[in-house]
Amino acid sequence: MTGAFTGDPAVKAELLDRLTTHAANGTLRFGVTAWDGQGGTPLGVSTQGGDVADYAARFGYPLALAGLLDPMTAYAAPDRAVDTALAWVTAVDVGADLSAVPERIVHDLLEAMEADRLAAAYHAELRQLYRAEMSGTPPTRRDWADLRNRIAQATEEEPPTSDVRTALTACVTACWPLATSSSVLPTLFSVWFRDVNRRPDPEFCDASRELAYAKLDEIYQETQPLRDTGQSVDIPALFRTRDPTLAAAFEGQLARSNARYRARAQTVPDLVLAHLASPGA
Amino acid sequence: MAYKVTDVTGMDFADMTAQQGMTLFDLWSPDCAPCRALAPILDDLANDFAGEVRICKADIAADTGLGERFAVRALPTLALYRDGAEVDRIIGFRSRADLTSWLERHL
Repeated sequence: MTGAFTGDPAVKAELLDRLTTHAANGTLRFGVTAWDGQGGTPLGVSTQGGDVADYAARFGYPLALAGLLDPMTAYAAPDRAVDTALAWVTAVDVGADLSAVPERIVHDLLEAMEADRLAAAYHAELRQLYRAEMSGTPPTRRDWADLRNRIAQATEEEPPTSDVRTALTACVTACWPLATSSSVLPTLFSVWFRDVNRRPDPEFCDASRELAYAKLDEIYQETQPLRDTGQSVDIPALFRTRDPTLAAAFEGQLARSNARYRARAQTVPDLVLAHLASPGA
Repeated sequence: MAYKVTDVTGMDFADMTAQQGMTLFDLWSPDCAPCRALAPILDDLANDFAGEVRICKADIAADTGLGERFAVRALPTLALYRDGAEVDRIIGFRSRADLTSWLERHL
């Protein structure tokens, strides 16, 4: 085990230099993994490609973490994205063992969605599989699938907006081998983001929502002939004209919902960077 | 060791589909958002099914001939081959759990 940056300070320095140069040149972008030969996302410019496994092998980050780099920097507030990308490197000591970090992040998210309390039995089984994986005797695909299927079945039996269903959804989303998964952490973060809007908005009741959807559907159906002839139709503008009060209320709740989602997403860099800085904590 | 999705863009259709065993072809395009969302899931499936299912991807925007040979109508298309013959296909984004169940049914 050579750890982060394969134990070589020069690897860390070269990686940091590459990111800093792209940031200074304006060729560091944030979003879906990309490399166009001139610039791209942090993972893209680091590998001059976009292969997560390549990043993990070259820089000594676990695969599950490598898969989080581009999503995490995209979640960051725009004015913090560059700093976040650089901190991803600077926060980690050369040779640090990051192997336990993915499970710690999963654990934080499961706790945030109360899986440890509301889905305690499944949560315990899941952690048992993680422990087996870390101990060098990885569970089989069947082991993971058996637990995942049982949790999925339990999830289906819960009401759609219940706390227990959220906890079970978190468990079923996390129920994959972390050592060989690059998609688990971003997917689990997505579940956590969506959960921020699970509870009804007190300023926009279900009846108003149904009215708004009905109105939007009515406008959509009415304007289908125009779209069929290739004309563009501004549905929000028509909605505002026909029912200004309802449209304003609808757009208000959308704005609040988006703000809650964005605020939660923007907490991710701090959460991840704290674990990277103390990988053995 | 991480197992990887093999990029077969530009390769010969007959050669790539004639392989023995199970091969999953991801027929995608860079401007297709669901295709991009599917990519990390396929990376993980390559590890999950290492030694059982080969996973290949082909950019059919860059290789339109390949798209025609696979008779792609919508993206992403996932075409599953066994011993040189197509046995099933899925169109559109699916979760890792759905794709795992689908592949296991064909093993």
